[in-house]
Amino acid sequence: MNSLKHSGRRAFLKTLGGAAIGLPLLEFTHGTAHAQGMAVNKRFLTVFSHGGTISNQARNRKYDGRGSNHGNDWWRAGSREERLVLGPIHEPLQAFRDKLLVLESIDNKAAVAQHQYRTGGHGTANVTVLTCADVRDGEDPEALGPSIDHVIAERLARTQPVRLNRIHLKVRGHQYGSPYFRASREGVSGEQDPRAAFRAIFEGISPTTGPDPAFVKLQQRRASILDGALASFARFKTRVSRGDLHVVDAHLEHLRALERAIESAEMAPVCAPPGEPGTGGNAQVIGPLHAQIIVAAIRCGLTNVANLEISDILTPWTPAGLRVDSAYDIGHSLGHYAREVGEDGESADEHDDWMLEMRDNRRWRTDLVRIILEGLDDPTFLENGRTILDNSVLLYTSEFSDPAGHMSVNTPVLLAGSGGGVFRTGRMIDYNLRAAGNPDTLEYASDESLHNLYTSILHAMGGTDAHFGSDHASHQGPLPGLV
Amino acid sequence: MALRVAAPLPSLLLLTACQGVIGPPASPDGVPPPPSPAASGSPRPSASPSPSASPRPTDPDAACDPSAPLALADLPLRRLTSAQYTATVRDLLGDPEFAAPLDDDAQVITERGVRQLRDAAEQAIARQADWTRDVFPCDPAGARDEACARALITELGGRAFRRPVTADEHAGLMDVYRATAADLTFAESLEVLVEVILQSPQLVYVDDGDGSRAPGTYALDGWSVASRLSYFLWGTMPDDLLFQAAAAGRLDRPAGVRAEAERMLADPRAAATIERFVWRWLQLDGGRLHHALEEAIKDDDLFPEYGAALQAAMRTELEALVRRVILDERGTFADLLESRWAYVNEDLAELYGVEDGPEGDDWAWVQLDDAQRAGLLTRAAFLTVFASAKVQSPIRRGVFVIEELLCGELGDPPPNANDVPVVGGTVEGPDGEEVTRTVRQDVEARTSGDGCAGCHSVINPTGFAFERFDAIGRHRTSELGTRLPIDSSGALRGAGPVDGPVTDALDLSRKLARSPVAQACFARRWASAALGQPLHAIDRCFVEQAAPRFFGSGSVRDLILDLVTSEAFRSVVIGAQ
Repeated sequence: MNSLKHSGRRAFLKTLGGAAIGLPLLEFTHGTAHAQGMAVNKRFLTVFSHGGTISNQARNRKYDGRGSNHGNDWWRAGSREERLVLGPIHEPLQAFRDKLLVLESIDNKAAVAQHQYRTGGHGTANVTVLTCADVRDGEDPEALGPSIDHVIAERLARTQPVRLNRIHLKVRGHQYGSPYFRASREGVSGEQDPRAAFRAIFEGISPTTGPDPAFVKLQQRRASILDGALASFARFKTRVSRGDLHVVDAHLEHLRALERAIESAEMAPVCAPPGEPGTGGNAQVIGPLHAQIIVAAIRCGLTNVANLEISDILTPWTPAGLRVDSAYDIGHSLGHYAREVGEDGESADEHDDWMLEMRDNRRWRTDLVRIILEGLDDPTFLENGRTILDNSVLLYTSEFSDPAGHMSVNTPVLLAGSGGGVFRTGRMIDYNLRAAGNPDTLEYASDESLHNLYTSILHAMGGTDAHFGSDHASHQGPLPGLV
Repeated sequence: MALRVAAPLPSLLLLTACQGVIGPPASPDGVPPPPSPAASGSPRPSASPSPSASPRPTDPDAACDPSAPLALADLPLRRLTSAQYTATVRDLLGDPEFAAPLDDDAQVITERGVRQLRDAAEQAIARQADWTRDVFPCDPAGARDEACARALITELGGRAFRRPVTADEHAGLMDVYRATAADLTFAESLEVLVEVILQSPQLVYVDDGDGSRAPGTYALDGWSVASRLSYFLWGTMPDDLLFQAAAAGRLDRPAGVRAEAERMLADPRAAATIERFVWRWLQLDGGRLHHALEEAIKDDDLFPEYGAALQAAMRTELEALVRRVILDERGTFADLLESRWAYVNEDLAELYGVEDGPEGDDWAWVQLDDAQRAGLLTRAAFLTVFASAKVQSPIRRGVFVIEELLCGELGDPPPNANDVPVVGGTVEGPDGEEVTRTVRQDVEARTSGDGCAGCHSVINPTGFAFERFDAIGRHRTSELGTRLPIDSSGALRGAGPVDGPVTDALDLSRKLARSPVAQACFARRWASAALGQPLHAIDRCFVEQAAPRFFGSGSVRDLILDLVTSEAFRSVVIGAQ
């Protein structure tokens, strides 16, 4: 073991007992934000809702409801450029209307180009929707590049040191693969248990003026163990094949992340986290807990990037829950009714029930977004005169527009926050090339891709990237008209 | 039409049949399919054939060359699964109640997974009072004792790494111990060593020897063979006897491996592993389109007897049947599909229509009605999972048989595939009149279109054989919902010489039991589990060569023993990278 390597860390740990005194007091519920008086901190959040939305989108047109497909788009905002009028799914976000952007007609062109049937499909759509990457096909397709949250997390951590570069919480249920990738072929899953998430994020965080001596001692011990583990892996790496080096490198990198978390204890904010959640509970309980943990983690300055992943669950607790026979208790079955509740569809008589159940299901998911926005838009919790939300960007999206068609064109996109005044919010922008003279046209074509959206978001986070992701987009650069 | 996601794997007979009707895959807009995504490149073809691998026939009827070398693929570095890690720590420390907070089984470990390993090690240390093994060679409360630390590394490290600790590894761990001397007590220093060992790569990953060697096929040493045996048969680390066999060189020869494997098959841990294999094979832990048995919902009004107790009974029964056939009776693949023995309590006896069965929570072996039940495919657990909340699902049952019993590949469903449950009942007919359809008739009506009929001409007749079993596996002659008489006639395709019409699930099971395709598929699945290779890397000729006795006797025990004594099991391929 290199006994000198971490001597500075150990020296710090020995004196940690007094080191934190004088740091700004942060509170989860009320207080002064972490960056008060400092450069504006930026944050990026995703809320990923598996299984698509209520959409009438086909590949190059939209259904009008007279065939077997329904003809509704309830994600779409009800207005253009000025005075945003939210669609039925986004009703819980009314209070934040002026801080939202609903972006229509952005395709996931990486999915469309690489899928057998040019629609996206489950696997390909999932692994490209946040990565815009080339795909390694197989029983479980894999992205050959990182998702946007990882890219931003790595960058922000360099200028905004935090305990955890990113956090990822998940409402468990049926879904097809994870859209989150740390790197090529390194899929990432979220923490499903709120208590486990809470402990990982808030361990040692205290509202008092000094760290818990027991926590300091634990960190000392962990540092020693990490030294040993890092040395073991460094030795081990010399005896694995070249093809396995990336596996060991990933493990080493994650050990170093734990090491950084220990080191970041020096800057651990004094912060009052929420109470530790209990264990168990269904999605109805776990979803809001996850959202509250995300809010607290950001308000305590413990991460810059937070992800809430919602599996394609049914929501029997909502007013219209379980009106339709989904049979297998998975949202996938519910979503597939989209193609047969139209006027001529096999389940036409279930149209109204299906619309209501899907609306309430997606509204429940949107309500988790609301919880996060409320926490980040607290006017008593300002950073340089702006709320945390104002300085952040939250992306609310899904892998599909129409779930029945597995449609990766016109991907659902809602942004919240302006990234520190970069985006002009309170608008809906429709990039449908066919809608120039007729906003309600059923014809569809778009030159914009998620590649361009994520390039825009990278810019909002301070980047100067020419492009994000693969070569499948129609053009490079950011989306037009956002800033 | 049911929607599935299937891998675009090498074509087999069934795939050809599907595409023959559907035609070249194209989107509804007539857009031709793009070039294969694989063309975009892969950083590492992790399961590509090694230079020594020889191409083998994909035609199911083609003859295999028994003199051809076993085609091995280089194996990516494997991490212990969460269950294997937990079992290993339990055995290592003698703490059977240890429950690691692990759930991250991603192929490449994630940051959360690494944190979970750290937390698991801390939790293991916190449970010292429950350890039944003398992990520490001396009293940790005593004076600092470097010799004790050395012994701990040698003894615990050796068992954890599943081979002797190298001098370099030993020195590294001693550095860890010495580095803590100033800050920690002796006991704490020893605990730190244990925690490092519990998170060490030699424990967390399966070590097949030096992977940096030149490309080629190498014989595994006895230690690595011991690890392969123990994780395949027991799901945990080797026991002391297996370590002794490795140390004595007995695992360097097939006879020694066989002797140890026979000993291990007599251990209850092997029974648990075999049960898990069958459970996963039957997808009772959930699949791409269904929940696990324990989470499968049913309509309360139609199935008031269904609930957690009945689910648990279904699991108990199936596991008992697997143990009985494979281990107790040393039975065959055919026995698994045909046995009428059932281990039932009162609830299950009632479901199966057993008269004079046990009462309450008493359990007993009974013979089921030979006009209604055969082996695994006619048992409640399987039939419950492959059904919707209200009715049976012939499509999902048919797809299961084709993909899991025949290793057939149906390919991706077309874009207009659907997953709305097909439940039968009253619908409006073509002339506006009311028509009542059985589930079967509804399936036929919904899957008869040009885009569906190709695959469903294979799927449906297979699944229709199960029509007499409702959504929780009760046997019926008329449908629960429509009260219409049930037609369970069907057909089997892609199973070789047994292809043809079937009258019902019993007939289907009998034919599958005698199908060389099904037998080879079963062997391939076991070989995949034994070797850690993906199914597509193991073909029929491979298993025919690796498990010759199984193809003569049909004995599952023979299959397992053949596989673990095969050259493939005792070798590792270092690929050219």
